[in-house]
Amino acid sequence: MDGITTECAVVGAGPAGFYCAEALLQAHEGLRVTLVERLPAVFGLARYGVAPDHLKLKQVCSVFDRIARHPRLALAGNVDVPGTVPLSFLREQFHAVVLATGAPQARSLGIEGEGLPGSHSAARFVAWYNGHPDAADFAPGLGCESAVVVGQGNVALDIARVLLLPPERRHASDMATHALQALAGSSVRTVHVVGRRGPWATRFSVKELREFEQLEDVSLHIHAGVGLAGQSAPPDADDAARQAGEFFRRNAAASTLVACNPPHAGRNVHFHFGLSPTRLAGRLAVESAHFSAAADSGLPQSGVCLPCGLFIRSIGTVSAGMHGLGQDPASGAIANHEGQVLDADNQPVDGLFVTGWARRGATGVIGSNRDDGSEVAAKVLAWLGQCRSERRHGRAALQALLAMRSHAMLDQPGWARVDAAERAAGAAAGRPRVKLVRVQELLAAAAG
Amino acid sequence: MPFVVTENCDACRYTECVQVCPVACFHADDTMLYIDPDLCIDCGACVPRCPVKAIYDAADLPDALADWTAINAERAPALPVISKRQEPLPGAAQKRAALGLA
Repeated sequence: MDGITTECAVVGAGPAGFYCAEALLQAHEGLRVTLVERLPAVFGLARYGVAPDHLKLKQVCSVFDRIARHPRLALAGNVDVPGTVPLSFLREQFHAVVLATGAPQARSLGIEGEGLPGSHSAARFVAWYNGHPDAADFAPGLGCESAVVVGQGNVALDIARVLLLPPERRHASDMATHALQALAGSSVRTVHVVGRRGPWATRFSVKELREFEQLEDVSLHIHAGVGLAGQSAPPDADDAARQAGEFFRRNAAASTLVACNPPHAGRNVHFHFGLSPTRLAGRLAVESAHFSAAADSGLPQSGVCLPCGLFIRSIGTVSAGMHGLGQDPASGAIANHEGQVLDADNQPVDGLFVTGWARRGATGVIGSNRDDGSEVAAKVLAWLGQCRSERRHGRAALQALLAMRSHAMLDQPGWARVDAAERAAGAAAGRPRVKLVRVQELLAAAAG
Repeated sequence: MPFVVTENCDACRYTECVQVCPVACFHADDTMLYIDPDLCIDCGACVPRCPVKAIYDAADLPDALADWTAINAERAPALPVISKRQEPLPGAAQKRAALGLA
């Protein structure tokens, strides 16, 4: 192609991959980007992580769509690294490779009973309701009255809310059809959101907490231990944590009486603080979750037991790692120095970079990846400037290899056909979209 | 409700916020930034980045700042988009200190 001197591959078509690709394209006119994606669908957690009723947040996908249509970007979906092509192939054929592979592996609590049926990771549950192909055959089991979600971030709130959304709100979301059907038959009436921290030290956003106040027929119960009503935020609390604490203080007064009465006839969400899970009990499946109480929580030091048939741990995720690369034990990120990947011996790997959650661990919101993507793109450009590299075949080599193997690849026009098919099915059903869930369905729609 | 830039930005224009806006909905004039409410997706990523706490969820706007919702809506579309960080205005540090936020 005329004027192209530099071939970059970005692995992972989620927010981090798109923003880094955009920054690379803007920085250098002779550079083109091949955006490699494991699934035959794009947008990563913007499609498969953002809650299905947060449609406004999903409008960010229109930004990614615009980047995907950039004349110097090519999408290569349905291409797994290393399953379809090894990382070494990309590193040989491209001048630089950026990993934007996220943090898909759920952390474990490491407690007794965690493997019982009815105990799931948030990552799996969210993937299921959002129609991720990997969770197409998952069945969470919603035949119980009570669910426990352990975690004090917005993912825990998403899960609790999705479990309690009224039917019309579910219908108006873009949740997967299988989840819509399963939730229509759900017996879950009560969700306990439980965490180790106190009410002034959570990672909940107040914006998302308030959504519970707006859910009709859902009562809010705050089990905040001693004295929350009179407490004020500790001086070291950041603004977001303080606002969440004020939300709990405001609602604690109102919910004290309710908590003493017989269970509310409608649906309930309970917030518990200062509790750490110690074990799950049940004969064939989860029947109860047991917690130890923090010393200053004012709760019985013998601990607390919550009956539940569904237990979801929302305690974070880590990167999947990649063969031969190091991994930061604390954040779970691929080992790197300012985005430059390090090998298992802590040495820089030439031409290999990392961005997004794979770089800094599973923290931050969609927009954090724009900042991150620009920083890493600048690193890539600086490195490219230093190495006077020979011509590489890049995209052409990848496309030739896939064609030789008759491997179906999702390109941008193919994705546009998937998107149009999902929107059309949505329009027919009175929904924003009906997601195609299975890989074969996505590939068939992409082929047109 | 969209997010709104208010008077603390005026004469500071730190622009830390624009770098994390996923939809590039910040616009700038000579003295401050404005958010286009038609583009803002309510993610709130900008709020903790502002060194002078100028950005609010429109739903949380104190009464004294209520006018800023309309000002953002009116001004933003007429001004150029700013999506990359720039140097703050001269005097930003002094204003920040005067606001007690340094």
